[in-house]
Amino acid sequence: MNDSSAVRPASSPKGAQLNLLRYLRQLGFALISIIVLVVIFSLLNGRFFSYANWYHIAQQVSMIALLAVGQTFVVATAGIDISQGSVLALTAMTCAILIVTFHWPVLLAILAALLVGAAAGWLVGFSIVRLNVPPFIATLGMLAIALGLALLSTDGTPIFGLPQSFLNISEGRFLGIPHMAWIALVVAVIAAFVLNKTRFGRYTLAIGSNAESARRVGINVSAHLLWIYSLAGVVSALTGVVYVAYTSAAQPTAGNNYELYSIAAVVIGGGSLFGGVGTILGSFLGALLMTVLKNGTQLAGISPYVEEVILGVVVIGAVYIDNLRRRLR
Amino acid sequence: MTALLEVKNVKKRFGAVEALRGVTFTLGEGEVLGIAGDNGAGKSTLIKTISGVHRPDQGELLLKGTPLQLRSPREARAAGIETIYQDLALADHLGVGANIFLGREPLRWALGFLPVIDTAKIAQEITNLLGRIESHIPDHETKVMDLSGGQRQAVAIARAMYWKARLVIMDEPTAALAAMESKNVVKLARALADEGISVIFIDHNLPELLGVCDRVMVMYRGDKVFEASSKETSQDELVRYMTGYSLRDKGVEA
Repeated sequence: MNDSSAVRPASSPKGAQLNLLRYLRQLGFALISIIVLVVIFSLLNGRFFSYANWYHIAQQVSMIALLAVGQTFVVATAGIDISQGSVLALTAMTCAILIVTFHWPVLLAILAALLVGAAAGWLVGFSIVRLNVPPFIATLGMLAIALGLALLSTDGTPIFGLPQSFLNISEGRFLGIPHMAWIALVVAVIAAFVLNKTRFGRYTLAIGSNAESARRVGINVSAHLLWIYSLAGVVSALTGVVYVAYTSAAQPTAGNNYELYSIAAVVIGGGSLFGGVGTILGSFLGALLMTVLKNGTQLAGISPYVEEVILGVVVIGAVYIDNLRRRLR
Repeated sequence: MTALLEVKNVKKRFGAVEALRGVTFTLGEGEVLGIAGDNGAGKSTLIKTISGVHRPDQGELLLKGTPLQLRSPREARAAGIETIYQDLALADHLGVGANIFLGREPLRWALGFLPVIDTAKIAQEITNLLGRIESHIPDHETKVMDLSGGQRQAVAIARAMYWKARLVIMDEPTAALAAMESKNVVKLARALADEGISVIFIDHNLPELLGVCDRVMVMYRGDKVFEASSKETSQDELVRYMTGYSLRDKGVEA
């Protein structure tokens, strides 16, 4: 018997096994919850389990999943982004105004919207790393700024009249799956690759786990955080573009509360608000769970106001479970 | 034994407090030097000066004969001076391999154009490394959060060893460890010395200090007041110098 195993259980499992177990437990929680919800909602309303409804769910989940991808990176650094919904609104307005009012080509307008998202994210990152504002407050400020600008842009009125080529982002389908869901899938696959296989992903987790340790080994923590928040802003903007195509209109109140869905999705998927943990697959399942919940309550004829209440309870419950998980490990 | 590090007449003052009053000592290659002293004797200031956290007001540091101008801990690391802090500075959520290679990950090209972390290489290097130091760490994927205190020390020490540190500073590495685990850390400190790496070992546990170190020195109020080979001194003698008793005895100016 060796010295150090004397203080640990003799049959302690290999590290890799322990990690796999932890991973399965995280995903298992989301998966089982999804199945339970699907069964309940199918019993409440027969239409829930139709192709038409799942097509609809695929459209809705792609927006929450996109935001959840951005949120996964931010949360992995022990940060949080509560400005996602209003950055979504601002970039939705930007994109629609450029296309409808200024007759910009669709692609150019989308690019401009992504740049606006990047700028918003960069400002948040700058406040965090240079002005030492905590992520919660920095993004709370950006929430107000972006929402205010979105309302200012048209004095609060929505924009209609987008061309069909643009609306195809949501209406078109490939292999029976809506284009917007493909967009979300591609972004998620890229994000999973970056998070798991590259130095960028490794440093993201390292900073969230122990920023001081990352600093001591020479990682440029400030520069890294600036990148994370800027890219998260780009993802929010992409969601804004998709949102406009989905609703055929841009409104300053678009994406209201969506950050709550994405935060819940990340935490349900195994991410921890204390940083260092998070998987794209987990967050994607979390996004699916939140979408099923949203869609199912609507079909079950539950008031949208009640839906908001449920959302709030789910967010708090998810974070409570995160706390329990940290204690149990 | 050739000198790796020479500390010459280093002085450091914080406002009215004279933390170091001209400390001089030499550390040989592959030598383990113990530093004893009460709280506030200047041990921390001294090692922070060597690890690049503080800059001395006066005096100089020589590494293998060349003057060292350290402006940051990063520069100290680059010069081969690795400090193992009490809080260890490991990322709990990352694996052992990820921690040892953090900031210096080997890369390979996936599909010919995507730079990804070469996990296979890390796995292989860590397996060799862990075999060398008898750490009892299961594998390179084990997360640091699943390790015991002694195993964490082993990871930090393995990191210094792998990256060919020339000098490892260990600041009370056994302070929070169970007896069995302390023994392991002491063994690791000796293993570093066997590889030709010099070690500065700070410890309040004097029997342990005398057991692991080749030489010990005692700090008292910012001065080095005593230095001897571990074999030629005793716990009682160290305590007399740590408390300043011997100095009054001999009438030495402190």
